[in-house]
Amino acid sequence: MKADEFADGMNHPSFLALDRAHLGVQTGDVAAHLEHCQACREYLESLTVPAPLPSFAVRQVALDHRPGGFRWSRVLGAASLLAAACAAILWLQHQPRDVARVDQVYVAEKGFRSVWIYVRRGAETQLWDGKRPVAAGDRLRLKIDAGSFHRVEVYSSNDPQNPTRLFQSALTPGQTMTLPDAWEIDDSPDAERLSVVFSDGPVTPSWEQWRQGKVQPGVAVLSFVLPKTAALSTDAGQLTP
Amino acid sequence: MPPLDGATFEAAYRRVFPLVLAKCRRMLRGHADAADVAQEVFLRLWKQRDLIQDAQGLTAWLYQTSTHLVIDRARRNALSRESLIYLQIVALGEDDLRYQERLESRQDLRIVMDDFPAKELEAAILNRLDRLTHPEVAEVMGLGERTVRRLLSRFDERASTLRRSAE
Repeated sequence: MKADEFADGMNHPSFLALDRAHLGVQTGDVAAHLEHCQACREYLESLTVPAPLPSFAVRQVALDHRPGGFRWSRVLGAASLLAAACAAILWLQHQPRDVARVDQVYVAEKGFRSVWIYVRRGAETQLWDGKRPVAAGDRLRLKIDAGSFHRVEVYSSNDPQNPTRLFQSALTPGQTMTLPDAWEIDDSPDAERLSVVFSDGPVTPSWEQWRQGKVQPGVAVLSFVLPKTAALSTDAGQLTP
Repeated sequence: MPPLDGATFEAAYRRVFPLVLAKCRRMLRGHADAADVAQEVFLRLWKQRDLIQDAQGLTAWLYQTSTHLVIDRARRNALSRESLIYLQIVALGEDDLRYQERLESRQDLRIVMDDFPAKELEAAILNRLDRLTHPEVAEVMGLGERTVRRLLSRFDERASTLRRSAE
């Protein structure tokens, strides 16, 4: 492997950790390292040099500042929406009263903390039904309804003694959020286990107690076990930038 | 709150683009290649900025996307000779001396990138070039640490076999 520019025998933080420090997310370890490491400080300083705007950026900035102006497409779009709404009202008024409508059959508490798991296999994405096995190479993406909570953490519980945190984020109560990260199912034969922890602030996991149903107030834990098939997904090994 | 929420394109560019470019320059020797990939990554980021919740998610996304793009371009032979040779050196675990030697030779470039599964290359680039720890590679790739260790181990075995066959 090529020796990198900091091959001086020191144990430097990763460039990812340094880039995060540049964006304001700095751990104590990185801060301590930066105090005595000239090379890492120079790397961070190189990121703060304002680069001249290249042509692609200049074009985009110009687009951002373009005045809105009158557009027929906006008028036509609004008219189309209005027509569709009128048609929907007329259609609903002519429905037989004794036929149960979908929203009356499905009862759910609006705004309750919930998790949807989407499974992407090849070009197809499906909502996980709670039973269907996933396969190595499938990619999982979560959509979360915050309910009344302010924070979410997602863990992989494949090693029950030492779950790995995959994601954490603040939540806005009452709103849904599609997580930006997707996770790929690995080729181990074991079922995929995910735990989603809702809380109102940072919480120290108490997995043993949580498994026994002893969850402290202000915390909710939803666990999912996704069975796995031996077959590889058609998406296995493909890149999905 | 998304880290680029409410930011103008220019403000986001000045804040984030330098680290995208630095990441691309670690992977590619041709400056034009690095600038080109960094531009594509940044424009994708700008389109998807609302999906990114925080600085950690932002950086993980940047590392994953830029690495994917470089591997894809290398496999399509859509990079300069300098960049392809450099990636080949990285893939085979050779040092800089071989880079000069290969650059100066007129031999046809053998694209060894095709010999490595994309995931193994991705893990190796993140770990060896970007110095990411195993947990960090796992975070960026959306995999478990166990899988990352396995990918890197297989990558090393494959590189070793290729080096032996080249000698």
